[in-house]
Amino acid sequence: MQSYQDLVHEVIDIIDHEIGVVDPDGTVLACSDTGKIGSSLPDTFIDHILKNTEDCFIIDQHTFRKVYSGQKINVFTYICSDSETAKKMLDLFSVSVSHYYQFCLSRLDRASFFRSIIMENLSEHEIVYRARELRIPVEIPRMVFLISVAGADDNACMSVLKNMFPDRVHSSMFKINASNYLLVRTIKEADRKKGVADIAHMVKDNVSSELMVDTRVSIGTESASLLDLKKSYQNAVIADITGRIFEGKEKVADYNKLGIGRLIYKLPEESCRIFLEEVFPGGSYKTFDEEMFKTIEGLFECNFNISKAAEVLFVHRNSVIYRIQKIQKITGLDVRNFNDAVIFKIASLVSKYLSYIDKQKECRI
Amino acid sequence: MAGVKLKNVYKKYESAHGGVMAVNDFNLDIEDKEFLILVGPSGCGKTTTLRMIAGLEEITAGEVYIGDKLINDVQPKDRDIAMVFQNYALYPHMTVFDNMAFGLKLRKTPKHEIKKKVYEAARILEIEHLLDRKPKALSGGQRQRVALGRAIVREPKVFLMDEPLSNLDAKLRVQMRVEITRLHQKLKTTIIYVTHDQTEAMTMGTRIVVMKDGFIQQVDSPQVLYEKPVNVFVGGFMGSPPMNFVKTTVKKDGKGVSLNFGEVEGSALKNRAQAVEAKAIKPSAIYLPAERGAKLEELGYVDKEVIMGIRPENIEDEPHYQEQYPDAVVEGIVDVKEALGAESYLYVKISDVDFTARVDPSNKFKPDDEVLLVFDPTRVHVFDGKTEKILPV
Ligand SMILES: Nc1ncnc2c1ncn2[C@@H]1O[C@H](COP(=O)(O)OP(=O)(O)O)[C@@H](O)[C@H]1O
Ligand SMILES: [Mg+2]
Repeated sequence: MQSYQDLVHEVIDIIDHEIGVVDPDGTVLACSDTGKIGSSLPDTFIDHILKNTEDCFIIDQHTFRKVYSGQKINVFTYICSDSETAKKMLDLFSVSVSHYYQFCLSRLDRASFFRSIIMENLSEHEIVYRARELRIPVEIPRMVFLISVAGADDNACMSVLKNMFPDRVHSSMFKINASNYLLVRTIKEADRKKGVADIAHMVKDNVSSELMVDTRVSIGTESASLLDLKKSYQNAVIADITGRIFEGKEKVADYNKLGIGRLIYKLPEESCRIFLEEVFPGGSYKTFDEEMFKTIEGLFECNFNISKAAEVLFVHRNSVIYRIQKIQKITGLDVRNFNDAVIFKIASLVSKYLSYIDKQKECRI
Repeated sequence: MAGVKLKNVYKKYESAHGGVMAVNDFNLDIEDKEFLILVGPSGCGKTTTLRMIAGLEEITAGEVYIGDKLINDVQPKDRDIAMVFQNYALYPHMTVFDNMAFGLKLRKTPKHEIKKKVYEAARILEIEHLLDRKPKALSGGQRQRVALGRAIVREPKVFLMDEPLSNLDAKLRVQMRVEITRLHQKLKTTIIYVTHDQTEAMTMGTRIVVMKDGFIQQVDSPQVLYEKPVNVFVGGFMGSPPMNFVKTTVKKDGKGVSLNFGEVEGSALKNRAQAVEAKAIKPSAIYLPAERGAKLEELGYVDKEVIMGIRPENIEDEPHYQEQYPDAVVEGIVDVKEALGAESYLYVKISDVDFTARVDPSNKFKPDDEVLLVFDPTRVHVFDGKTEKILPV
């Protein structure tokens, strides 16, 4: 185990005897003499160790100590000396080993606990009970980030996330399926000030540049307690899907910033089809080109000031007017008029939504 | 190290209504060790182009080469490319050394090699003395350098940078522009740098690609882009404050060929006619130098509409210009004066059209002053009225 070795490494300069960690079978897990890692202790040692009922004992000028996890012996530690000082050093080292083990355990559990809350149907009682056991506060603001990466090496992605958020008490991350990871993070005042979206952008840019993969990050809603953590996750999923439907370009989707897309996503398909047929009889919207949609976007952006929109779109004012007239010819909607513009914009979103649904159906067939 | 070549590259994003052609017939040869800038307004296809080179976006049509190798079907991580984005995050609990080493460890690079590469990158970035520090103990600029260091240690053939400075405050941004340019000189690798900020492009670039609506408009040095824009868009996009544009009619008389605006024609402009009558609006005429005028006539533009473009610094207020170019003098009314220390801008109405002129900061102009200005006729740009392309005059 690499982590025990890290511990050994840290004390090597303080303790000038060989020191090590051995599992109950006698295999050396970590040792200041790195050559011994993975090897077995001599059989005579093992026999002695197993038979010995003391917590601390000396065999052949080696001092050993049992390190427990609950009632069970977890590992043995040893030092190559039988002096009193060496024994004290070993005692201290053993305390570290024990703490380290507990810490790893809780770290492991934290993530799997969050995973259970999100992916399984734990009862409220179970959540509260396990939270207490793991010493995880129930009522604390948390955010779920859904991180989608296409084709990254699992370990690498987890490793990047873990190192971006090394603070295990406030951040947990785990993989949920082939290309999705979750980051559950308690939200501190500083995060809120900086903006949760900033964290998402940071994750996106960092993961994609470290791993050279396309990365999307979706933000759920803030959950006030563990009991609504699942909801936060579900909202992150909705943000991911609606983001993909309505704003393909954006690599960060925030549930709280879905705009009209959120509403449309919840509409029954049938109503959408009727609405579209009503606004654009005979499917006339299929003849629209991107230019027309961009023009509308531009007009919205500039409060329907045509000159300004022309500036934003980098076209001549007359081109904007020409496009507006073209839209009017096809649809009868005069998008200089706010009401008509709203109808047009919603219709364009609905058409995006329907084409998403159609695609889903195609995939199923 | 290698150049990058894009051949007839297209990118179409499918969508509900047909799709967006985000990049259109993109052809470009980026030389080995070149620092190339892609600039253009938001949505013009810069990021898409970069992502296709990186392999994060599928190429709809066309070919991309790195060195001599066609890489359309090569996985992004095998393309030997490093990307630098705007939202970098240093690993907070790691030292600068470990921050830079991290990516290499992920790639299972041998330890001694990691050490060598990190030290080399630190030397180039001049952050050797910071290697033991944690990110918290660094200044904003130092953190930026570490972020760059993480890309440098990979020793990629090509660096792709997508608006890496756009999250920084103005001061740090200016500092980092210089540092990135300097870094390129030290690294001697190919860098493709994307920005929407024309000032950034002009100050950093040796060769700049100006894009609009997925099409390359012009590829050239900052100076050529500035002095010889191929169309109205490039003229207007590069330079701040931007080039002034006005629709003009080409006329020919005894004095030569002139560009005219603020004129009154037909009856539709009756109110305007009255305004001119009342001297509120005076028509303006700029006579072109004989040779330029003759060319314009040769091209058949007499009595046609063209767009005149003139940069603020080519509208002159000093009297000696009036003697030099007596047939290019116009009368304007000062709207606003903006003094910026080393320079001063005059916003003037000339024949009821708004212009910006850069004038000597020692000027005494006040709003509503009437001023005589000269449009340097050798520096006037003439664009076709419809295609908006530059005319060879
Ligand atoms: N994933 C995508 N899905 C749909 N459209 C996209 C996507 N990415 C970009 N676009 C569209 O392609 C065009 C170019 O975008 P982009 O390359 O991001 O421009 P820039 O980086 O110059 O701002 C824009 O119209 C944008 O909306
Ligand atoms: Mg971009």
